[in-house]
Amino acid sequence: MKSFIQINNLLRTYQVGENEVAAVNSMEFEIEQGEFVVILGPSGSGKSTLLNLLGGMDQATSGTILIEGNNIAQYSLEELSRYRRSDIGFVFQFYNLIPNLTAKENVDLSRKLCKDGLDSTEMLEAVGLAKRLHHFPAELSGGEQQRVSIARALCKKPKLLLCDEPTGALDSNTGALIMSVLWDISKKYNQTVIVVTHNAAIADTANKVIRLKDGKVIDIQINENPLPMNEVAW
Amino acid sequence: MILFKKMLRDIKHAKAQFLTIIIIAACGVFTFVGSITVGSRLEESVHQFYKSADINDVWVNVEGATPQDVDAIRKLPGIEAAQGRTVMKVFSDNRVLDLFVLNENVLSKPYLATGEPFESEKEGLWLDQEFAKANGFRIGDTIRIHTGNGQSVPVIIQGLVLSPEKLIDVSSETLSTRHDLYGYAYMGETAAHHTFSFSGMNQLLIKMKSEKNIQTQLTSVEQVLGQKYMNSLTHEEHTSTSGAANQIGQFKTIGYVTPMLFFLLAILVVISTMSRLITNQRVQIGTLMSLGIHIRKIKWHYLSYGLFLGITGGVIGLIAGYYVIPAIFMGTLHQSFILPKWSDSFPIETLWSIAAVCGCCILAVLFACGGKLNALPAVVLKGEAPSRPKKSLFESIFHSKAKFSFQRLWLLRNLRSRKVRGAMGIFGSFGCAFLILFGFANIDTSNKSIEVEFDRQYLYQYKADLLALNAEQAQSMNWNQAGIQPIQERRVVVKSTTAQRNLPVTIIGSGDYINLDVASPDVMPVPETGVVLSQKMADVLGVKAGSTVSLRIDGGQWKEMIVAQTIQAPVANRIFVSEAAWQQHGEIFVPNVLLLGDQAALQSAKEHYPVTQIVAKADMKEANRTLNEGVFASAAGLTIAAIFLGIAVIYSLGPLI
Repeated sequence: MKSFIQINNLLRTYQVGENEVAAVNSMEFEIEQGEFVVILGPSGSGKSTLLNLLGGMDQATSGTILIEGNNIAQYSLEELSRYRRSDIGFVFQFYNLIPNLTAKENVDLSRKLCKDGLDSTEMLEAVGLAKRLHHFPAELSGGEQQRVSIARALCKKPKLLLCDEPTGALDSNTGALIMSVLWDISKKYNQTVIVVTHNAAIADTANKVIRLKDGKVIDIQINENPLPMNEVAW
Repeated sequence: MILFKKMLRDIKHAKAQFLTIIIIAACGVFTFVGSITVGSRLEESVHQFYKSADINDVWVNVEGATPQDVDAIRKLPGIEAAQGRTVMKVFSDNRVLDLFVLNENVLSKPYLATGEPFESEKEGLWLDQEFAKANGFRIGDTIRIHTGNGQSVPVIIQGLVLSPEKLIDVSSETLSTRHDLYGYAYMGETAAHHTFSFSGMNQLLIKMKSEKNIQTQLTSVEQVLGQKYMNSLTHEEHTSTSGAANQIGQFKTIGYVTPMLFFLLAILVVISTMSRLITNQRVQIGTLMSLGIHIRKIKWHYLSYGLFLGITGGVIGLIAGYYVIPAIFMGTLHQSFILPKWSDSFPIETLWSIAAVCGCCILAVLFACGGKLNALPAVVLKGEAPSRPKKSLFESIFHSKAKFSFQRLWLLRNLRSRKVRGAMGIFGSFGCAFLILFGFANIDTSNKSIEVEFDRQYLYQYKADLLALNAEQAQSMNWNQAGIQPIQERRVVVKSTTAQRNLPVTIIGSGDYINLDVASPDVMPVPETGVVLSQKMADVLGVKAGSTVSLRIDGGQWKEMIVAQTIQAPVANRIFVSEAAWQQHGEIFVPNVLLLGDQAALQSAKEHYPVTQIVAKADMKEANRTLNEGVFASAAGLTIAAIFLGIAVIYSLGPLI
């Protein structure tokens, strides 16, 4: 049986001046449906590039990215746009909320892109923001903004939730809270979640930990019994 | 809907820039709609009057034409209708009337303002409404008419009318528009026979089936009339019809030219504002892409800013222009044009201005977006790498010779790296400075023109209008009185190989109260041969000293005259001819104005000539100043608008920020 995600010989190069730099180089791994995956690595290891390629935000130079058997590495811009709309939820390090829209409107913006999305109010209630629906991002704390961002990503019922350093801009308590939310969602909805981070502390909570360095996979660790998020020391 | 909310909130957050765009867009539409509305209302009103009056296409002056001649002309192919009439000059005390005697009323029918409908068999006359109003005449009053041959008869006023041939000036032979002194009247042929003795018809009104080939048709008419044919006038040459057409054209020209400036400014400010907005919203755009919102929808979202700004500014400009500009100008037009009814139509083409301003704003947004929206979300989110700074060309050239301060180097390099914005800032500032200078120059020129005209060109103290004289009367009078200079003012059609104009001409008799060289304190006399043109008019006609122009008076034969000299004149659209030059071309000098040097000359003029009215030069100068207040107001408005726009452009473009 094929895995939910299969990455084969993936390459992404950039032209920097006269040099060609490989941000992702010959990567290969697999991820199963419902797994909570953590991608670890230092700055410049290719974590965000990999996440962008998985989320259809960027196009591979070569190689294959099979999502449920479909090679998105060969998708056109139009197909990638459709893929992001229907299959992907993105959580950014700096939340990337639309500043002139309220929390509910930010979520609605995403929900209205799919036919059977989840109710935005319910989603915001689920992330603990029932009383902050009509607040603008500037009126919310960092943690609250990130929870709006998670609600926005999840209301589309994506097949894959991609989180790029979701706690990078938060203090440790808030970061732990956010990670708990993501972990709970993964377990509750059998949602495939990929979290890019350089916080090794959360590695024990993941079903799979992929370690990167210089654009290459240097280690893939599988945890048969991942710890619940509340048992991790931050 | 959510993105629409976002747009409204974005606009609210950058209200200064967006308000500037709305105001500039509104200004463009405002001037267009206002000018076009005024021009169209005038055109529509004139057209309706012409249509209801069935105005003729050509006036043919004849000598002793008969009803059989008119019938023969009617039968010519290409002729739709023809009518004969007698036009004669009659007097009522010191007032002059053009009297039209009709035996039928099919072309250029007078509009009955009040009274009995016109009938050629009915007794009495139908008097010019404005003349009647200025002189207090009413229907049923009796007016005493004197004819040129000494007859004097009382005639009852049957009705008050307006003529489609007299929209602008009352008398084609003077430049005066005084309704108390000059007017016109219609009289039936039967009544005229009872009242005066006059011989045959002297003018034919002809309407063509098509406005094309009028000259060809006229040749046929001339052949039918033979020796009876004297000359002819078309709408382009007739004072009233050409004057109306010129005025309509002027409003339309203003309407089409002025908004261009505002639209250009709107484009500049939209490009700058939207470029900055899109750059600032790079992460938002990337996020919208990452959510899977289609690029077309994102583009449309940003285009809707341009559309919203264009529509908002356009609608404000449309409403303001439709009400404000006509309110300012229609009053003046009501004074200048004598029309029975004024149209209050809404010219549908004004809506195009909204489409145009929206188009400008949308194009500007498209330009501002450029390729920024066509990249992958990851690239958009990451942002463009800052351009590598390079030395500016200016710096490279002059650096070895001059030492630049840190600020100057910074400025030069910023200008180099933000070429488009820098160029737009310079262009916008230049345009605004130009407008400010133009406004001040306009005020200065207006003031200067009045000073030059009344202090250096016209050296008389008083100007006296004379009762209209015929050629015999004029020739029998002695015009050589001390301190008095006779002149004749009238209109002529002047034509060169490239242009044709209907202009006022001043025929200058002996005396030195008109100085053609305003730069010199010594009076420059008008040359004994040829015509003198202002340099500006010479440029318009494409001629220079030594060239030949053709003059046509009252639709007569074209007469070629040499341009003796071109001068710097305070009033551009006027030509000067000496009495001698005028007579060399077979014309008779019939003075209708006297220029008087002092009080003694004024007394002398009153004693020796049929003076109707005297005006002191100081009063004329003051009257011109008052007239020019409109120019001052519009120039001041232009200057204020330019200062405002300058601030707006610099603020909005923020070329180096």
